[in-house]
Amino acid sequence: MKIEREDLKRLRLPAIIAAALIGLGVAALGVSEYYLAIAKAAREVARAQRVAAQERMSKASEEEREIRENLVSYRKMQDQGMIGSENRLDWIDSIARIKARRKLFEIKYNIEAQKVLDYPGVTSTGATVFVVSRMKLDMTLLHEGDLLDFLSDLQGAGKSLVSVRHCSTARLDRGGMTASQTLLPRLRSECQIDLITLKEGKAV
Amino acid sequence: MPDKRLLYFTSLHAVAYHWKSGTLAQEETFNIDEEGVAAFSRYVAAAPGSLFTILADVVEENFFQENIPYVRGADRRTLLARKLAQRYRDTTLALALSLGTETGGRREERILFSSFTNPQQFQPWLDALRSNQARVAGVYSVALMAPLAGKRIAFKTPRYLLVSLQQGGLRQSFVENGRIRFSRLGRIDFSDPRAVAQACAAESARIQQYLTNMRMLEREAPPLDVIVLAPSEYKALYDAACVNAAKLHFHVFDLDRVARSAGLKSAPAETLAEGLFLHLVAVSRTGEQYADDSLRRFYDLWRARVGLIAAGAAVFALCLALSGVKLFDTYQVDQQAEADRQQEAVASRLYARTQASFPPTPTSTENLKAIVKNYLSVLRQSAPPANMFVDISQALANSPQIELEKIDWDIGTPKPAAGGRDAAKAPGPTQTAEPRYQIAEISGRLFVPQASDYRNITVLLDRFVEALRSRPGMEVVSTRLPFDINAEKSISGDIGVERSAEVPRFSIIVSKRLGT
Repeated sequence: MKIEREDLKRLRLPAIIAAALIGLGVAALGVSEYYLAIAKAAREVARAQRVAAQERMSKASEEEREIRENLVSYRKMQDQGMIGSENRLDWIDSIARIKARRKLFEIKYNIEAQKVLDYPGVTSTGATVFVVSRMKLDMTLLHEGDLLDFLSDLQGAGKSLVSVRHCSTARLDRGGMTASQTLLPRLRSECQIDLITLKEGKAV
Repeated sequence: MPDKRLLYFTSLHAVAYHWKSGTLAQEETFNIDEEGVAAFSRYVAAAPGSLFTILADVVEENFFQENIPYVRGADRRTLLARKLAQRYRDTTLALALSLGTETGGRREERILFSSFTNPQQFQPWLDALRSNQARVAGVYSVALMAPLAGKRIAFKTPRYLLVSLQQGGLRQSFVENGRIRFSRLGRIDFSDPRAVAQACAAESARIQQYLTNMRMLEREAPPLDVIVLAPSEYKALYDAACVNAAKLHFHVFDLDRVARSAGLKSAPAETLAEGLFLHLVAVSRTGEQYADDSLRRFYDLWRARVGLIAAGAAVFALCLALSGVKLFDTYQVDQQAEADRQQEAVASRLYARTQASFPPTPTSTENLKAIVKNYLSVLRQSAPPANMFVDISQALANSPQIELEKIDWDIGTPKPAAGGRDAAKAPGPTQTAEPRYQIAEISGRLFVPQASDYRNITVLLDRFVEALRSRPGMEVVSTRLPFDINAEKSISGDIGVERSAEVPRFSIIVSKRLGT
């Protein structure tokens, strides 16, 4: 079969029709492929949501146990006075009360400005933030028990979490001291204590 | 499908038929003269969309067999064209059929050359078709269609003679291995059916002799099978006339039955075997015909147009089918997604119901979890010094010669003191990890009779160090003695002096893991 050049004109319309049909077919294929891809993506989303919901459901009892355990810790934080804004006057009153009750010698303190707690492993949750007020103590003691009692009482005051970071306890020079002067301080202690609270909202 | 119009061409007249779905209808009869050609031209012009096929049944049809060298492609086409030109003056209606290759000796191809010896008789009719741009599917002859008729009869013998009676006369076609080898048309008087039947038998005997003389049949060959297509109403006459002989073996078939088995549903009553051959021309797709490309130009164009549109339609249909499959897949995927969504909704409702029984929390569950996680981290990094102070006090209980001067207590990671005696035992520092130790540097002095009594001092301090180590979780990171007993340094003393004013001092760093 030979087709002359002039015959090509006669084939133009059928060629256009054939091309149009092929184009329509390919377009139909493309559209169906597009809808299939969308459907598959939607199915993956639905499947992931279903799996997540079922896993959440299957772990509900475990989650409840975890919540109860977390609430125990949370209540402990409340008992320690960690929740809410710090009240420095309360801390000062507590120190004064402990000093008076324990009949301690001189206590000098310096509380630094509050800042975000920067302990390793402590991360900000967004809604709440752990903050710390660093307190430096300078105390004279009759014996080391006074320091330990003071720290215990300060924690027991329930105004914040007391985290002792450093304590340097040294014997005072006893030069010229007589036996009748036994009630004079024998030790000097310098401590750094972090008073930690949990604050709502953004970091300080 | 366009209408098929078939022209049965004899030396006396040409008859136009319309064929559709196995039904053959006669439309017009044209005389073989100028008036006939003019009428035919009008007939063609009146049927512009039809496919025209000519079935020639004329005496002037020649068959000649010759071997040619085995060549292929353009060389073969050139060689065949040259051979046809050598053989026939006018090759406008000529044909070269391959009969196969010679197996022994030189490799040659056996070719049957065939043409009408007087093609001029067709030219006015073909010109009428050309001038009307008619779609000419081909020019066939009854001889060329004889092998197809034999196939329809399902006759298995490799060589046979097909005898048929048409309006054009009595046709005898010799078929070998499914290919026409020779054909002859004889005039006959149709008025006496018995004479016609006897002529069939007599002419068969004559042509058998001719084929033998022309060495198309071997002399010792078995009897030649002769297929006789007998008109139904006279079949008995043919059965009686066609008696088997030594060289001939007759097989008389009812023409109408053969035609029906070939698919011809109806044909005009006056039609003889040409009805069967016209039907075979209409339904068969054989390319063995006489028309050249120029005559078939508009037919080829029509085929190209149909082919293009059919190809486009086929691709379109395939794409639609695939799209259908994909849309069905989409439907199924949607169903799966809907099932997932329903299951997710059920699980969420159940979870919400279960969650309602959870204890109330002051903040969101996740926030509470994070708060407690941080709180526990702070607790892990915190410890009061009391625990370690008690340990040091207990260790000191059995060492009255030792008096402590200072305790530096820290939370952190111990660093080994340079040159310390127990430096190798120190835990390695980590900068980013949580501090896991409480560390105390204990400074003190020793009350011994002689400050230079190194052995006694060493024993006392070792005892204290061991007491420290014995405390649960306590590790001695480094020890600094009042003197350096390292062999690389000098050491001096005053042995014999009762008491020296010098008081030996020492320093020990201990650590204890938090939580122990």
